[in-house]
Amino acid sequence: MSQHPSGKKKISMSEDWLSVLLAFLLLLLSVLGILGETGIQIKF
Amino acid sequence: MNTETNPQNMSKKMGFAAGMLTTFVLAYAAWLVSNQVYGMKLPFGIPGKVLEYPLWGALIGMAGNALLKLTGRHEIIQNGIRTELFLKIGLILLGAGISFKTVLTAAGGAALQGMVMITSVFFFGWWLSGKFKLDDKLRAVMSTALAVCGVSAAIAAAGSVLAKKEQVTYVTTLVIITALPLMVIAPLLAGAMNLPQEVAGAWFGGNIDTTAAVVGAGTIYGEEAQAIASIVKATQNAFIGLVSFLLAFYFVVVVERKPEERPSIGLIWERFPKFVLGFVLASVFYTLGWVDGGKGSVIEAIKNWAFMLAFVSMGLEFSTAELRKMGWAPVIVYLLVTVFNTVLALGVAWLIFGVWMPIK
Repeated sequence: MSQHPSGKKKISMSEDWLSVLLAFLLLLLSVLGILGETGIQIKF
Repeated sequence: MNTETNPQNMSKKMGFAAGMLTTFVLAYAAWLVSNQVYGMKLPFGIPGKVLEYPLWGALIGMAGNALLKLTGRHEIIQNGIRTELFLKIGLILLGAGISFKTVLTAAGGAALQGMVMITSVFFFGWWLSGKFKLDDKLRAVMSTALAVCGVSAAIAAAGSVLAKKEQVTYVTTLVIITALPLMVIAPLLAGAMNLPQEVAGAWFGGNIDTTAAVVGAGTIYGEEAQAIASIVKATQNAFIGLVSFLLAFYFVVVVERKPEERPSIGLIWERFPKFVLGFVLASVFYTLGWVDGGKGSVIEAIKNWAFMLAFVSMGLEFSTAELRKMGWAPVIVYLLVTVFNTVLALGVAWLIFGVWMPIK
């Protein structure tokens, strides 16, 4: 976390950790059924 | 309100959005082409399915790149080109479809292969670039990129030895220029040699410098090759923290002779690629049955889209402008070390994955 010039605290994250967060968010959405056959279907 | 930074921030955000939109549109176009060609019979009887999606992603990315440069728009979208982000998401999702037993079995051989390859290629690159009288910092960045994991290794090494920005850009260009053809040629050679999937995967993981092209070559060769290539490359990636630390130590103590500025051991963790942890954890979850990234699952489809976006981004990043600035000596060194890397990796992959520690 770093101090923004406006005085507000700005949250920053490395791209490495961001990839982990996004990938596990996608896994969570698939487990919850939001992504997949019962929810949003994605094909390749 | 800061009037100076706000317009800058706004233009950065707009550039990011434009870059992302461009990448997604081109990825969709590449997907359409790839699907069209898949069932076709091409000239000389070549079946369309040999031209897998990584090739179309990179080619359409390069076409978009050329068009954007011709119209003077490339600079605007640069902030939104995120090859590494898409690649890492894809790799973690790939982990969600591989059993932890396979990861453990392959990682043992991969660690052994990584140690042999990193040491041999780094020192050969360092020695050869010394013979060509290249600058020490360029030698370090280039040898690390060749030995460990391409672009991200070049960036990490540059941080350790405080290399100039143009040296990093230069090496990055060399990495992409050699990795793109290797992504297509290596699977063709592996096919001609009739290499088993796991040996071919280990070879791609050991010899192709950048992770995106390793995944691409594995995908072109087959599913098992893709999994093994990714595990081998991820293991090799994990060594970057240690290599960065040793490089920083060597430069401070031996080259610059400032032993009081020795780097802290924390640098190893700082440079460690965290996505490798995500990959391993996803594989554990898959093995426990908590997630499903296997064949036909939605996660498999998203993984392929993430890789497609990474290949398109790689094409969008492609540039030869830096090569003209530094002359041919570093290019010759880079190509010679790549040949050494390719031949050695084939022998080492065959010995480890074909003879000593076969996965099946």
